[in-house]
Amino acid sequence: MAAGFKTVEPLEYYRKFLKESCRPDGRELTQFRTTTINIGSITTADGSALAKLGNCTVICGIKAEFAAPLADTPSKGYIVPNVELTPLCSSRFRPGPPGEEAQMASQFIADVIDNSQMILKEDLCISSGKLVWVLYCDFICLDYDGNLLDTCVCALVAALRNVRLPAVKINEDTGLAEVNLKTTSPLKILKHPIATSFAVFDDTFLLVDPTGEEESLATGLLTIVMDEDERLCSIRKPGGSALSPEKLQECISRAITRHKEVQSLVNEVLESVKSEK
Amino acid sequence: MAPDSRRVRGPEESQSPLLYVPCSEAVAEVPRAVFARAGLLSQASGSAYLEMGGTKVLCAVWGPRGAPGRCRLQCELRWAPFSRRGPRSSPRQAGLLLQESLEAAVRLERYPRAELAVWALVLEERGCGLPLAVSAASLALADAGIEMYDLAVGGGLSRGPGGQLQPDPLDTEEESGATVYLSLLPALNQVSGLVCSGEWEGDSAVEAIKLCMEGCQRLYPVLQQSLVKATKRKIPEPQSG
Amino acid sequence: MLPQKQTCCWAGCIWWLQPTLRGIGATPPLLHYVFLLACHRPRCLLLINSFLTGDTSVLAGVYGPAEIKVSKELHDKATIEVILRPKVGLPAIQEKSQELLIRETCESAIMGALHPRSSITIVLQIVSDAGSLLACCLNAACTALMDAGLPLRYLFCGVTCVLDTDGHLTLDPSSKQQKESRAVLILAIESVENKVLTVASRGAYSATELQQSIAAAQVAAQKIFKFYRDSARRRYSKS
Repeated sequence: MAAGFKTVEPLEYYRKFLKESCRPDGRELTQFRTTTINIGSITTADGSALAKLGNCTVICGIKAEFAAPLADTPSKGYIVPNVELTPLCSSRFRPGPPGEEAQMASQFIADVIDNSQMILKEDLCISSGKLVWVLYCDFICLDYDGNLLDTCVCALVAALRNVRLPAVKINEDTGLAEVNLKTTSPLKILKHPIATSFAVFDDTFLLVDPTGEEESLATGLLTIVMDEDERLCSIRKPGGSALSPEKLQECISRAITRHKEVQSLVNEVLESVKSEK
Repeated sequence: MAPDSRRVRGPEESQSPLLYVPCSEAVAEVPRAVFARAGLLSQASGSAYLEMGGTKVLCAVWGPRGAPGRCRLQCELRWAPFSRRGPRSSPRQAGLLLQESLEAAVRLERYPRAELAVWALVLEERGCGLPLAVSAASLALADAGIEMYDLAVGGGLSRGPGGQLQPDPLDTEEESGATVYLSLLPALNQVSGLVCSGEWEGDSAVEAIKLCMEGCQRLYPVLQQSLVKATKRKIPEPQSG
Repeated sequence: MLPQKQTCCWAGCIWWLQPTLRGIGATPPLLHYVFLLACHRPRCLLLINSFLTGDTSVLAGVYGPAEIKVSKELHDKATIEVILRPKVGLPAIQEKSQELLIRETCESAIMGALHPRSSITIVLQIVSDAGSLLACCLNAACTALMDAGLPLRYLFCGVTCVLDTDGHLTLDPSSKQQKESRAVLILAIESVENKVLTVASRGAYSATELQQSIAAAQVAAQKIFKFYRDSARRRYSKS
């Protein structure tokens, strides 16, 4: 009976739950789904992480390669994110070149990396003007169930902390690079941005961490990215219901608490990986 | 490579650091353990994840969906950009090979005017990516409840430099010698797909195929068990009394 | 049977020159407004203002409600499409991201439910860029929609705020100020309740700085809405 009502009138079905300040899956309005992070599972990548927010699963693999720097920035490396949304994760995506949502997500991740200054591109320089590191961060969504951006940012932070770059020396005589795979060093990560997404329902209710269904019924979406100094690295609110500055402040406070939760989770996972080795 | 306007711009060219490292010899391992799990993705009709040694494959099945004409099995097999050692590769595709192996196993005539879409992704390639993908795809099809004659189980084998036949080879062994990939329907004992590469003299190919078939028969019960476990998870235990 | 107005792809073009809003609470600025009307009738009205160079200008055209391909149509509301063409070069991933932002903003403002199974296309051509580009595009889109006579829930306007390293807030920056700033915030404010419709940002800033920017943008938005009203009044009093 409830399932029939849900199919015919999904919005009314949700409204009944929102009146009681809860959601159909039993969560509170400000509660996140279970977050799981798995680090270092892909050995062919230089750094990898799998992040799962409820059912939404994203795997991030980072490959480090050599490249020549641009002429006007001779001592800056590159960080190139790429989000792939294929028919594997959801039937709404078509095979072929990246669609709108994938392009938006890739641009968002690139902006988060730039805005938060989590890695200085100067740190990726091996030899100024000749050789720099380029970090290709590939995100593949395995299961799409809403809140893609939060999961991607989680996976990014965890994967970057897992990256180990081999020591590189430029041979003075030949000018070629000499790579020593045995001595590896981690990346210098200055900030850890974490994203928190909200869905606005009927211009009044604010739901944290929307599922795929909630996203399709929402009247507006909001994503806030914060770092550990309580600075906002990025806010993305593409249209949708208008929000008053007070509501925005509430969202920011929730984003601050979320940052602490995820940061401690990532630290815990990294500790356990280290102790296993 | 021309800059793709739909992706974030990176450098024009890049090289992998492994090009500057002397090659290291790979260690031959004993037949690698397999981990199989079905029914792990929430959105797809059916899904499966298989792991053998380092090779990891995930497969999702969508369907049956309405489509005009006879039932088509649309397969897509991709390697993730970070799946291979060495340079970051543009995603390779091998959907046709997968389709040939699976078509013999699926009862397509039971789904007129429908389409089945199979998407397989190799997350990490440490040898035998294609045969593992075949096994994962048939497991995912079974998990989706598609009617099949049998599970198509994949197995691989390579001939090393000394002439010895190595089942479940590593990626380094595959590159150096000749390889055979086979997909078998174990209960019917029929081969549904075969890819041979490299030089095989006379009866050595037949011997290699027989060894592969034995390997597939050994893998079969593992896949069956994972399907039973997945079904038990989906359907709750009946209440007694 | 669609009414005559809709089948002939009624179009309104607006050439928006970004009004200067330097400093919070600036006196009513010098505004330059060029209006081009191209419609299905052969004659067209053309006004050119010679004071164009050096300022940010965006040309906006709205087409619709018009017919749409069956594969793209939505049964309960209009399909809104935004095309943003840069001044030079082909549109890349950044333009796509901006198009999405503008599209979502317009979608929330347009009462799409009144025109189901039709398409509304907004084309934006960047003519010159001297800073505050995205806000200029938003303003151009809104005035074009208003001029095309499409039913809107509210008007919206874009305001750009920059924060420099000392924490000073400046509205409507030039390209130089934008490049040298620590953070750039682009806010779209709606006209009915003065709430925040769209936020896009670059750089890092604190929550208090965000609140300050929103307050400043709300004040500036009132001026922009007054400008909309004045120019619409001027346009309709002439013809």
